[in-house]
Amino acid sequence: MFVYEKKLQYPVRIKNTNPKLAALIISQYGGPDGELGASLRYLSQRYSMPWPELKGLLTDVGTEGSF
Amino acid sequence: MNMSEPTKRPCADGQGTLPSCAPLAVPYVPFQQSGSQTYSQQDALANGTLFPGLNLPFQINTVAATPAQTGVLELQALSFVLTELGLYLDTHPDDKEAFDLFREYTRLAREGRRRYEAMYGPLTLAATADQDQYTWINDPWPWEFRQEGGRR
Repeated sequence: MFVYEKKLQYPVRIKNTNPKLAALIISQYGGPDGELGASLRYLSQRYSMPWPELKGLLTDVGTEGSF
Repeated sequence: MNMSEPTKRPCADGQGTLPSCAPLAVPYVPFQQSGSQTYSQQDALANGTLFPGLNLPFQINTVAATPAQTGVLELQALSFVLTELGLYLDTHPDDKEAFDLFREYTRLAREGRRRYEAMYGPLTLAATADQDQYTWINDPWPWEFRQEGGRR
């Protein structure tokens, strides 16, 4: 389960708007082979992970990549 | 740079450890050592890692961008350090020094969160219960960029 936090993880300052660059960045996040897909794979892979250290690591990396 | 002297680091800070006996002709990723040096939270956020030994910029002489000072920056830096320490502790759960640091930063982050929420409103839906009114839906949301002093 996740709890939404009403803040950015890292400060963002946009000097010039650039829709082409925005499309590239958003596809790196949510597009094919993006971070969001990777994070969901981490969260699925942990179900067959035998080692406790790596169950924790897959959980935390998968959580981080979802935001 | 931090803080308490590292306890036991057999190798230099940018180097890791390997199993003492290892099969031939197999590549390895060296393990990060216990007691590695750490950045301050601001430097960690700016460099994208808590650990100087893991700071491998793409270009030599890259200078870490210093994020602009905002009300939320301190909290972002503390949260980042907690994320980093959590990932490190997942694979180094017996590093007492790192766990102490984790507890100290958790305490700082709780205080920072309290200060932030007093100034800018609740960070989570649950924290809205501490307000006089239901302010969760109030603008601005994090994606609503505003020029300093301007409207939007």
